[in-house]
Amino acid sequence: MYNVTVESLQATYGAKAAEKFNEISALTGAGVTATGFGAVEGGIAVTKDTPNFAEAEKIIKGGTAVVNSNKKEGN
Amino acid sequence: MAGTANTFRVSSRILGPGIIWAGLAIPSASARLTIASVDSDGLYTPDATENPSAYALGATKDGSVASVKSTAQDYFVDEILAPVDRKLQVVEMSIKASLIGIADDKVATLLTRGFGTYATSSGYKQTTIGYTSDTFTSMAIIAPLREDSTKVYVFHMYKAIAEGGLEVQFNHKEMAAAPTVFKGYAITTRALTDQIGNAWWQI
Repeated sequence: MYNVTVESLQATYGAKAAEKFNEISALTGAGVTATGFGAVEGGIAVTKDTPNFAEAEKIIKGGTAVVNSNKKEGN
Repeated sequence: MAGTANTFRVSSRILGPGIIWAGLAIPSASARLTIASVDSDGLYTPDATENPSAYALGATKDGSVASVKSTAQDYFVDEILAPVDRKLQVVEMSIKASLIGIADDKVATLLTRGFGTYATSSGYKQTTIGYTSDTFTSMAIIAPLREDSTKVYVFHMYKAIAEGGLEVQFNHKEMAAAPTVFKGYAITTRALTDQIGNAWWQI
């Protein structure tokens, strides 16, 4: 399980941390944004039961999310 | 004719006290706050890994009240005396409590969101009053269940802020406290059925 905040992503993503936070928020359905109107302090809780956990974890660990990885090219 | 079994459901109730927490992480869609094992006070707390920014608001003067209120518009027709239909207009979640830890920096900051700016240096901690931007926090009350005190009831507002300002009672007969209402707001990008918060219990 993870707590995801902009700060926790900064070491990996630097200036793109907020953008990656919003990406994880959208993937997991948490719905908050890093800054501005939708921002809520405390971060996002990501567990194995979280929707799109594998994709979210990949971003947390520094990789790039693979969405629809089973989809065949050209179909 | 066979009878139908009655039940008084007396064990399906909440045991006090409920502890109010703020700074919680937002649960993802269809998830809930993760509860950790019992602490030294015998109370269940939010999981520290998932909720590293969480903090308890401390004791209250007379407990807390969690509420979800809905308001609906009734529709009438001239020919029928009772309303014939309704449409939901408003849903509001709130937590009400009189907090006693008003000289605590976390509580003072939480109570003055939107108009208070906290600062500290040698010899003082202060909140200056003026205009600041609203900072929302994720809040919950956690209380044990009567049927099994190792299980808890959780009332969680995903996006909340104190409303109504800061009112502190100063007198020598009663314990000083700040009566406060924390109000929940919708996270509009979440699913429509799960935008404001949740109330759930462990089984």
